[in-house]
Amino acid sequence: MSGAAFRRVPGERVLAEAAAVRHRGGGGGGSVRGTLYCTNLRVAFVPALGAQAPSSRTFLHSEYDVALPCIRKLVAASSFAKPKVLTAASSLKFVPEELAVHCRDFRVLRFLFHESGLQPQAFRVATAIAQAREAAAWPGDAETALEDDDDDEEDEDEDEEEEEEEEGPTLLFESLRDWEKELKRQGAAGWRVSAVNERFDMATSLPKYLWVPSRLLDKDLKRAFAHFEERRVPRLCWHHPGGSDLLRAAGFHGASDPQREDVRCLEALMLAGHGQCVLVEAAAELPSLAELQLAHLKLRALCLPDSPVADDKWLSALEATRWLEHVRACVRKASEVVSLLAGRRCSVVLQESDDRDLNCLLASLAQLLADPHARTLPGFQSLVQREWVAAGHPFGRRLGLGRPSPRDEAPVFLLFLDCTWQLVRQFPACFGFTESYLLALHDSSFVPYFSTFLFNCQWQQGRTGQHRASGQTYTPVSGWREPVAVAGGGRGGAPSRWPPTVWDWRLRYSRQQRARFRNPAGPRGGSAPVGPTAPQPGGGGGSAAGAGAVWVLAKGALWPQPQPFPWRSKRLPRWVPSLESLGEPEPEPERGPGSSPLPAPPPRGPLLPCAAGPAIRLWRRCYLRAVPEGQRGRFAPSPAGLAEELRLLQERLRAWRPAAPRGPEEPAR
Amino acid sequence: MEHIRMPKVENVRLLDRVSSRKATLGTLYLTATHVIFVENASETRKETWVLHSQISSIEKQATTATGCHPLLIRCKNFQVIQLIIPQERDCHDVYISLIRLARPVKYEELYCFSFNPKLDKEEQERGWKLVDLNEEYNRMGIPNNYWQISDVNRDYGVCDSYPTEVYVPKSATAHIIVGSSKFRSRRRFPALSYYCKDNNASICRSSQPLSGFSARCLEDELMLQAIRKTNPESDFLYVVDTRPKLNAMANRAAGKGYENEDNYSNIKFQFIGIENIHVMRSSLQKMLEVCELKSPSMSDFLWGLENSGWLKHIKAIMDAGIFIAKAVAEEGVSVLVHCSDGWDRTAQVCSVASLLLDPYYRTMKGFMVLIEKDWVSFGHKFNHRYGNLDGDPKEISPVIDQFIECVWQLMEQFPCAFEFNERFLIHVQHHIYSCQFGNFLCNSQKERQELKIQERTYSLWAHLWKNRADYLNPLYRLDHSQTQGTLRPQIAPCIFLYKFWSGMYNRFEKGMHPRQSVTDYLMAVKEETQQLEEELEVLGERLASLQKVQLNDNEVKSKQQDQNKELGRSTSNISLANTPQEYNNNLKSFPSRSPSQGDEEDSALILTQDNLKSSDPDLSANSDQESGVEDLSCRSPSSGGCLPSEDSGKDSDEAVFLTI
Repeated sequence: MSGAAFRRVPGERVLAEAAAVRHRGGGGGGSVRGTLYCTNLRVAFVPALGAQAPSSRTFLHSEYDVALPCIRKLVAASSFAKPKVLTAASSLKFVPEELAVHCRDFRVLRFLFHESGLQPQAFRVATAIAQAREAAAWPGDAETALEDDDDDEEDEDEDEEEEEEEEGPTLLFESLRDWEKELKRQGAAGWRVSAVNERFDMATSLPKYLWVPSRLLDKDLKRAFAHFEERRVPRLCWHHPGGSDLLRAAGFHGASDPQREDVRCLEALMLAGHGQCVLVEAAAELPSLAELQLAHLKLRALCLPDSPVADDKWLSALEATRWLEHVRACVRKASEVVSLLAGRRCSVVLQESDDRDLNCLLASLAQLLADPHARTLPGFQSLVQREWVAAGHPFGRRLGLGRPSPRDEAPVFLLFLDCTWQLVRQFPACFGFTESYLLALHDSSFVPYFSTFLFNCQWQQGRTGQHRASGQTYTPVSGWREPVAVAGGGRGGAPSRWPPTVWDWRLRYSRQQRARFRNPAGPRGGSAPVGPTAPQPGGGGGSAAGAGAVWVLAKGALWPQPQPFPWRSKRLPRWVPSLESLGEPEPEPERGPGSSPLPAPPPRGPLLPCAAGPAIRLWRRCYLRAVPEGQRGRFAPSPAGLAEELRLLQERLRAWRPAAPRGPEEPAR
Repeated sequence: MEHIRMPKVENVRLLDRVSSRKATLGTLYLTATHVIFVENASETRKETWVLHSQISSIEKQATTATGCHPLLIRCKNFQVIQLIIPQERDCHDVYISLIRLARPVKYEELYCFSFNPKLDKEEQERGWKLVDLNEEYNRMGIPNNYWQISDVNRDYGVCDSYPTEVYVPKSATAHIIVGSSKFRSRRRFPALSYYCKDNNASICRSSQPLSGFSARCLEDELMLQAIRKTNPESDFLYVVDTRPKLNAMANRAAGKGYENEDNYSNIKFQFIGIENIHVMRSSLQKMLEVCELKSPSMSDFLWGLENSGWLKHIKAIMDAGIFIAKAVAEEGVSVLVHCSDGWDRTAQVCSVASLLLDPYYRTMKGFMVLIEKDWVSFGHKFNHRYGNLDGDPKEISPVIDQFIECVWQLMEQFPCAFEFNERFLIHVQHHIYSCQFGNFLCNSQKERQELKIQERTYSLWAHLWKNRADYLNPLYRLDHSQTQGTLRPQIAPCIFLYKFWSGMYNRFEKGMHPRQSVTDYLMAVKEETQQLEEELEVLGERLASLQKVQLNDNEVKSKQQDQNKELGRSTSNISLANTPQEYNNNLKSFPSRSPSQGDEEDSALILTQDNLKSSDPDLSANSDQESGVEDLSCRSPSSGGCLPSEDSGKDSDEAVFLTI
């Protein structure tokens, strides 16, 4: 009796199932009845019909689904035996009454098998989950058999088109067009898209297309690759409307021996036509990957319901995880970078030894602070797509969803989401998306069906797609060569491209859930880059420094770099401006609470968040969600709902107006 | 005003706490009631006003390298002001003056006796009648078969810190009450605080019994029995001692202590350890030290917060309140609460429990009633605890601050349950210390009566009520589940539920707060929705009347075409003319609540007004320009034109002399 309502992912097989299971929801009281499935990919719970509004059904379920790699611990409990941690090796010696699935995304799902007569099912499904977890196949594996899904009837999701049109689509940065479009939006006049890496023969981990100075020819550009780790050359991330440029690059390759001509190219690349260049060592003052991973593990241990920490030690235990300190360091450093960009006309080069972790974080965080477009929903998705996915952040290794060794794991992306959440908390009106959205993205990064998080770089993604396209039964509707620009598409719920990108939110989130993603009070439109304060020409002693000055940002101040490249030395003028003198834009004058009917528009300059201890908060709705009582007060009527009501009334009013003849005095609005 | 040695100092710098490099140059004025700093920068001329009664400490700091003299002023509303005065002499004079001004010795020196919001006698009286405790007990369903009002304490004959009107069990005779009062510390006998008419369970309060190691009192035992019997369904009574057991035992040696279960019939005795006022005072002190750190790191902050123990204490108070609410609502058992004297911890715990039990106390009006009932009327020692008059510093403790924080913590957990918002709580806290209104003067009702507070000062509640639009919580809905019945917060070990209230303790650090307030936005959206609904209704009515006219029109048309057509039009004109006008008035009344139009005459608006008007959320800045002291026409230093000239400064001094 295969569940009729259970929709399978391509290649998915049901290994065991148990009917009449209760899922105990958060917040104490209620539980939902349904069927629990264990497949070769995930543990899924399908609520019984009637337990749920049909419109809230989605292809995958964000609340009840757990991908096997996301399971951290299985605990079976019974009133007759003490709770037992299940593994594939250990055998279950009692019939469980409750199965608790501890997930890596901080959820804990509890399934109760208390209906009589179902013991064998309960036993079977618990054992199956324990075993399937060890043997978990993940869709990134080429051998995964993908079969055509027998598509069941599709429901009424059809009509709803995402309102993406008004704000522009999410750019995936797989095609040349996306890179050109974005470069144009940024108004970076002195830059062009180079296709020098189109076949990944320059650097496998870099994207196909790179933004480089217009004046630099591809043949000169090619000289640069050898002098950087992993051949990751400096390239543009973001162009400040005031003229500054944000670049990112890997560390200099120690063993290379550049010729004179090479050095000239390197200089042209890094200075990008500016008189000054500031090198920002990304790793300085930021945690190492190992520290980050440790902090995350400690945080998870602390936030679980069975945490042994005593009440009066909770805050110091939280401190001891160091997680919040890491968040604080990132927010502060990104603010420094943004102050640099806004304060003077220069090029700022983020440099990290392999340019694939903290650089992603800093580059995207800086853009969130400085570019209003990045704070819209599609803008944010494009940003993640460009600075993380295309730039080759090794998601596969860092998130640890696949096979690779755990020592590569590091939650760099999750740290970025936390930093973003801090910004949303501090500047709620400046963002087009909400906490719910960030939470959805956080959870989705543990779901191994999304191309976004499966691969380590574009090249790998392409190879996997090619392999599949040639030999397998399943041919993606749009293959890797002609990727679709807009995520999603296809018939209601079922993805047109497998694996889908994470941006196809309809797969896992119902319409109601997605309504909460958008911030109705956020900036409108906003695709045009807003020109913040123009950098002061020659500010910070630029004229004195002369052409080709290179500085290093350290400890919040700029230091002259006598040897910009490790291979040659050159005297540079001594002049140390402190960051504080860098025309740090004044924070917008703050409005008193409720001073005008509608709050003031968000500030035009960059956001400068407060990074003092009390201003950095724990993301409770994310990390404490296994503790239902920790979620109290979280789910107030959504602002989106209120805004919709308002819009409805306005429309009704508009409809009335032409009908009613004008009175002597039309009430002025 | 003989205490002001130095009415005006120029070239004073006001340091910004967040970024020390930003200091504003300006002039410092001392008046009879305020310290005022006016910026020199001509386009802003921002003013910072601090009431003398808000000053908690003044500190002269070491002379700077440049030979300037810093002065640090800490306020009871958690503002910290750092001034740099060029001349040592001036600095010393300001210091000496402020020391005296901040510690008045007579009630008459307090601001509320000079504050005049220009209300007539009737309005003043009506203001005081806004909160009526008899009405409140009636609302609870009292008097009834079990409870009655007793006049045993008229003229404060039995207990001078209790109100004259006390609610006691009907079966408790005057003899029993007086007997019991003699067996209770400071004669604070058991009296009713809250009554739950659904199940007859109640919360009573008293002070500790004078039991020592073995003393008994028959009347006291009868009193407790009488209380138990007011709840016929329950066969026992909880007696909750809110002190740590050790403290209670120590009291026995002094002939005080706690009830012996063997001597009282059918009581269940329970300790719930809330620390005493001295522990709380030093805990707050430690937390404020953390708040004063300049850009604290994560570990500075989290360790400091934990070591202060503040949140732990807040949780202890909440836990006690939850215990009592549970006993009353779920077990249907009455509770008698006491601590030592029954005016600090008892007040905290009774009011938290009432707030959890009764949705009425979660409305704005109800909250005022609650403070009036459990704090003001039962003799919470406002003067001693909040240091309104110069007194023993060991008596000072943030007792009601903790209660207010408990309410805020509940608001965070139940965002839809409260009619009022955070700002309301902050303003209540501010005025407990400001002494601008008479509500919280003195230590008991008796003292207030002797001072004739109601004739000589104004009530805060009327002021807040007038501006209630500013204090509404947009998420509050009457039909929401959180708005009904008992709130049930978690009692499990979950300290992480309790958060640092940066809106209160970092209130003046603007950089620390979210730059935009979601709540304010929601409020604005809600108001706009309401406005549109009103508009829609009016348009609907207008349409209906038009249709009616048209109908008439058609009927008459058949008879006298031309003539009647005209008539019809004219009637339609009339109907149209009325409605929009009315409507326009509505419209006007709506934004007038919005502070941008700031009601200039209304001095009582001060708080909200400048909150909203200037971009400055602190209460002291620009405080009451139009406020009370009428004679001070030149008091505002900026009134003399763009730059305050010597003359205007002098004028202001003279005016100050005139007032007192």
